[in-house]
Amino acid sequence: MRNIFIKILTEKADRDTYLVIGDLGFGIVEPFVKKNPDRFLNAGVAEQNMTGMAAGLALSGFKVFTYSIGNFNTTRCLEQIRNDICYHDLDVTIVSVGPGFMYGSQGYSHHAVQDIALMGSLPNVKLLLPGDSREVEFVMDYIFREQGPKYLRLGRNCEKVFHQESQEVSKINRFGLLADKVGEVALVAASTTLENAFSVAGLLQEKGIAAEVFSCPIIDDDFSDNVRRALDGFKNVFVIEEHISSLGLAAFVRNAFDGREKMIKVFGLKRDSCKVVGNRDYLCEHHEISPSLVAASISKMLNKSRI
Amino acid sequence: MFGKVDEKELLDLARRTRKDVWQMVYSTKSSHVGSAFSIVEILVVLYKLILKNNHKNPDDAERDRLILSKGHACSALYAILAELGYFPKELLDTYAKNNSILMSHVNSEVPGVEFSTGSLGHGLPVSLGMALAAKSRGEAWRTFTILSDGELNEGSNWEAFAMAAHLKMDNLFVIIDCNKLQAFGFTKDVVNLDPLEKKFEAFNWEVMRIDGHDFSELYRAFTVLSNSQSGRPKLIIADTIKGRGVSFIENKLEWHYRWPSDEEYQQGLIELG
Repeated sequence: MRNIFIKILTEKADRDTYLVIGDLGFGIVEPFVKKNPDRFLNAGVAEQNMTGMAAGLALSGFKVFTYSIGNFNTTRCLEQIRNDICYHDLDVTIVSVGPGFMYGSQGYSHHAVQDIALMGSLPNVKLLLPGDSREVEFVMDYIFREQGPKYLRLGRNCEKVFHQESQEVSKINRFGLLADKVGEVALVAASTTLENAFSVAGLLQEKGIAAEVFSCPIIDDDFSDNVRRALDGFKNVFVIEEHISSLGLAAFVRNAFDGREKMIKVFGLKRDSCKVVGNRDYLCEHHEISPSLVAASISKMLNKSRI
Repeated sequence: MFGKVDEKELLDLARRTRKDVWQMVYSTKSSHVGSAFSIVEILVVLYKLILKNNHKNPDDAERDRLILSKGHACSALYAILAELGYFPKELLDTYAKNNSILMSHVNSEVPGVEFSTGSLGHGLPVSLGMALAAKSRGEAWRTFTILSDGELNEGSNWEAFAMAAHLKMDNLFVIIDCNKLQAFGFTKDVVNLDPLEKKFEAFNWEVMRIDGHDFSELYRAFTVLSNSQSGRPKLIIADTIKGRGVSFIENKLEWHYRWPSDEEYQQGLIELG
């Protein structure tokens, strides 16, 4: 995902595009640097200054990207993002690689599991949560079309493609691939959990439950309308998020249905046991968002409700 | 004389600015009058003698930019911008009032204001980004930033000081309003950063230290630094007095917060002339 991001950025960049990195992106960002050496800065290990500089560049007419991993260009410099970029409504895209537990064994300093809640609460921000490389292409078109602050949560590898070649990508995507009947279960995912959702759908199918997967690569002003329309008719909606439970994608889904009857169950991370460390699979098991545990839980809930 | 401007014009503008600020904080019971008074001469010299900008075209792409990083001192900036015609003086009456654009930390919605600040340590990194933008495009405009000495506690500034010198941003000018007081005490007692000049010189900035209330010294420092070919970013340590202009508020910590009583207001007006 990082590579396709840089490939597209390098293709689309013009003299008004600026990339600022926080001393990360080795082996990734070089194609951009090669093409645009005078529109690139390594700001060093200094994310507050990097983010303030990005605001200054954007004030002067540049479309700016800050690039780092995990929490480094979000929580470390949250006030610069809030005051300098968002309140001034500047055209800066904060690109963070390796969300959720993608850097799981590196320790909790590297677990980006509060980012959607934090970025999503700031004024003017659009959240970009691509789940595969087709969705990266889609959000990159959006970034170059739309002005203003954006947060791009980018999977570290995640090179699988879930969209069929003929399938058009949109702000909410419905994958009917595994469903043999419609309307029983909707699995809503974004970013790194799109792959999990497909695994869950496969496991549910084995149990005779028809589940459809929905992905949400863009959360912007249209999101509530879009998600209500997409999930119309689904009685059981399950949100899977590699983020503190109910404060990430699920918060936006729930807000969209505020005051309307819709069963929305969230599979997310337990806030108070986030110090546990291990690889991504281990941590997904620990937080009970692994595909097998999610599928078992959904199956149990549906069987109960059928009785 | 300073070019075509005589000293009386500068003195008059400084006096009117302080009187406007005094009125603004009195009528709305606002804080930070001491911080505003310490930068009046710095702003007067910048706007009358140094900055290339024009109130008739505040968005001119070629203008010099000024960011007030110590945004709590904005009453002085608003007063000068009104004096220079960026907006009608009557707007000053709305300072710190409900739904006014003249909020009491500097607001970029006000004509002539480049950037909103409030929380400290933000202005310099943003200014550095602007200076980099000008360099990247080969444009001649310059960026000026006013920081307070208390604000130097913020680590973000030191990230920017290091990077600005690394990038050889000689189109970036920092003025430290060195009034020796911060919100809870004297700067030397909170975090003693002396010797300041040596710190900035060690960071590879070109540094001058002057009396920040003396028009001649300010003008000379800006002129010398503007003409310098050192390739280094420029920094002026302006020694100032917090509350300068009204004797009973000068160098007093409580005037970071207080506003004048009716009696103090009248007494201050007499002193401001």
